[in-house]
Amino acid sequence: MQLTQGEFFQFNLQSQIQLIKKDGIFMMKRLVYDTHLVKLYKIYEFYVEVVLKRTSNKVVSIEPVINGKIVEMYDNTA
Amino acid sequence: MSKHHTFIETLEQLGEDLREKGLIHLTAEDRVLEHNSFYVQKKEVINFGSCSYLGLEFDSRMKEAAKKAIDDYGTQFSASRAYVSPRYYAELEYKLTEIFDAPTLVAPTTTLGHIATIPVLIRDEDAIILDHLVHNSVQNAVNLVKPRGVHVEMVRHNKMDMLEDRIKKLRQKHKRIWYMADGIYSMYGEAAPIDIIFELMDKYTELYFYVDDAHGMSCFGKHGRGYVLSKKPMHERMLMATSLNKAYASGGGVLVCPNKEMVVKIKSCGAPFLSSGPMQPAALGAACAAADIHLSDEIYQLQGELQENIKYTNLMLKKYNLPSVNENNSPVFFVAASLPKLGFNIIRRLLDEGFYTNIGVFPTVPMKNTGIRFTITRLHTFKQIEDMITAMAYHYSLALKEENFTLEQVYRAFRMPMPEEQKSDKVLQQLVSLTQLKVERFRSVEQINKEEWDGLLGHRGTFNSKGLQFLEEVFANNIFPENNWEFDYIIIRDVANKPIIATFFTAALSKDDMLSPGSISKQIEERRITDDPHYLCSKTLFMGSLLTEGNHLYLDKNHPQWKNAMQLLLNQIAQLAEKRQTTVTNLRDFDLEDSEMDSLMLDNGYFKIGVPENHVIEQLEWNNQEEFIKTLSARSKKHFKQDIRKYENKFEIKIHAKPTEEEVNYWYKLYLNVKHRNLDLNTFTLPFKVFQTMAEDKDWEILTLGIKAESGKEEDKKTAAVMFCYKNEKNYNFMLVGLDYEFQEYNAYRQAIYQVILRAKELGMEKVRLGYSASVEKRKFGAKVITPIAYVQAKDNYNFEVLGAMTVMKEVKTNNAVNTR
Repeated sequence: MQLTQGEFFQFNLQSQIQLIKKDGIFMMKRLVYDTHLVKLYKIYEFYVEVVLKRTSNKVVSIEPVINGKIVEMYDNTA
Repeated sequence: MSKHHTFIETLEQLGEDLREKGLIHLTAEDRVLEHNSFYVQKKEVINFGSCSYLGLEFDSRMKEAAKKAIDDYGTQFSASRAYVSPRYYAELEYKLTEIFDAPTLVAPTTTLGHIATIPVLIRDEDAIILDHLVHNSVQNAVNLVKPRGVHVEMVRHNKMDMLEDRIKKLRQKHKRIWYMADGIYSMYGEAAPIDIIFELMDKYTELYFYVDDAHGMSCFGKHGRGYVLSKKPMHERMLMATSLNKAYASGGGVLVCPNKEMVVKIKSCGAPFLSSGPMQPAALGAACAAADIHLSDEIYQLQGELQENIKYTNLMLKKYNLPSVNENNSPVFFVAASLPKLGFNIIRRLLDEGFYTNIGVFPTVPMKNTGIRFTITRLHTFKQIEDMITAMAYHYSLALKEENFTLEQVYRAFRMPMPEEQKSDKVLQQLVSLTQLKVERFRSVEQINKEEWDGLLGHRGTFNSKGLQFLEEVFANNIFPENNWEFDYIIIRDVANKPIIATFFTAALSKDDMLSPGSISKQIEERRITDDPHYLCSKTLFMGSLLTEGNHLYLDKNHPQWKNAMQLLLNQIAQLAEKRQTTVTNLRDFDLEDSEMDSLMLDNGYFKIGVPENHVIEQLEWNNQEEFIKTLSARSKKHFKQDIRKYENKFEIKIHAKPTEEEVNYWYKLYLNVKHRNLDLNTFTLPFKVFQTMAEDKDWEILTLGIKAESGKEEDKKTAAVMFCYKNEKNYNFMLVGLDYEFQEYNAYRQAIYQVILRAKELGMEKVRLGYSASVEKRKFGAKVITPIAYVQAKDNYNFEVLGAMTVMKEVKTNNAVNTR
């Protein structure tokens, strides 16, 4: 069952990760400096960016994608 | 059949039904249990019935601590705590005192904790107010103090205005008033309004609070001290019991006391502390390890994870449009199903799909408030939760169709507003057309063909067409609401227009203590006089009426569609109950042993209760008194000679064709004599109009027993008894009696019965119906005893539980009592 963006962000980080694993579709990823990896997911009817620390491969935050042109920021070959 | 017996029988039948369906008394078949699933009936199911909300039962620290305690102390340290306790107790109580920030005492279970505490805590002069839904273990412990005469009553669940009202009344007589409630309620998962209860404690110094927070333990508050103490700190006039068996995942119960003296008192005087065994070392070891977790910051992480699962569950229930009874942050959920058969159906389907949930069914909830109770723990994943709720939503709609029920009916049974988008269910109407049965409903017996009605039901008692016309006339346009009845008649026919069912209903205000012991009714009548004349009264839909007796249902059981017709009738009854705004439905009088009917009724949310015995004399083939005596048993023969024949010449029997108003007035007084003496069948007093109308109705006969005056003068003659009898074609029905107790020495009541029998014989009747109660007296005349039952359904069981909670001061045996009927 689909959640709205508002509902998704009512949950804490661990729960958001669980939801993404359950219902998210991986789209693309990009590097931010050399320290962080950002993955773009489509979940339900919206997009989120999952920010991981490269050294530990741990998710540090999940952010809503509010700019439709954000896809342009991804280099899919990364 | 006693009420207790019928209650146990209903439970037994429910249990049997659930066992047959493979829904209760199950076994987890796993050799090793590891997470939140187990094998049942050789199938792996996800456990949505665990109360170990934080999932600590698999925590390695707790398992190791339990093992070490066994290594140290063996499997049991078998001694009463009054003598000596293993050191783990001291360690655990020390840690628990830190957790609760108040003195604590550990009991083997929470139930035993209540049993230890309540009798010690409560003084004879105290009053107890139970919340309607307070846990059964608290109510059972309260039963221990009832024989001491402690005043016990009940208020509607979480109704704080009602509680305050009762405190105001009771504080005039009682210095200490205990309100007993749960922190989180075990069935619907809702919380007690702690803030308001504390405000009331501040406002009324007489108010004390006894709370069971078993389901709130660990899940809420600092150090997991529970829901109640997450809202407010310990109050000096409060005692809390909680469980270490649920989210705490070890064993035992805890009593959290306002001071150390209370702990010592309970430990020294509470029965289970004196004579029951202690907790096993394994449980104590695990409990100490759990305490360490609770005293660390880890508990907040565990609580947080549980809350995320609860939040997700609430969201899913909403998204899937399931009729969840309560949305809150407790781990207990309840999805309404209303009818037991619907609940059973859904639970079975979920089990087949691999989800173990609980059935919430009578007596923990009212019969028509059955539902799917499930719990959420920290161990569940979102996927498991969504999978279960998706399956529930899918099977819910299939089960509704299979059981010919509508979602609208479910919402109505729980008094919940139905979401607009879901109001499209027409299953019931489809069912009606499918079965091709025809329902006819009437508001008056005059709209029904007299010959047909009398052919179906007319010979059964006072409810032939004319008898019902009498009732319709008498119980209309009266001043008091209890004397105005609404009548409904239902006939269900097959395609060939042949009746399968015919019956009638009255919607009337009735006293809920009608069948309670006289001592209970006496207490209630006192409140009806001082507070509210309709206290513990319910508008009830009766099959039949309060002034008719016998089997009111014509049912052609040889008809192949009789079960469909019964189902249709039950649907019609549910509609009628809504229309007439009744809160109780009472279908009477049915055969005691009819397992087929029992099963049908139980599936539709009715429970069986015993009703007073009925009496009928079927042997009227004698020609004189001697021949009549020969029909009696040896003992009854002796009784007849000593109590009846001896005084027969003292009386003068008279049949009144056209009584004067003065006579009717006098007879009414005699009726009131009997009515006011007897609370065993506690009904409303019949209005004078009943007797006036009887006097003018040629189908009623009024017989009097006059006492011959010693002076021989006609004007000195007195009336000892008056008998009101209804005659139909074949039966003579002794319906009401009035007595002048001045003439008890002549056995006027017994003489009245005999004279009624003689009159029936004189009229050439086949049977004499002698009505309810006074069984011993009636059997002496050779009356056959009929033991009927009724099927009852209450929209909520509050009033009945109030009656159950009341203290029976002195049991009054009813069999010999003379009743008005």
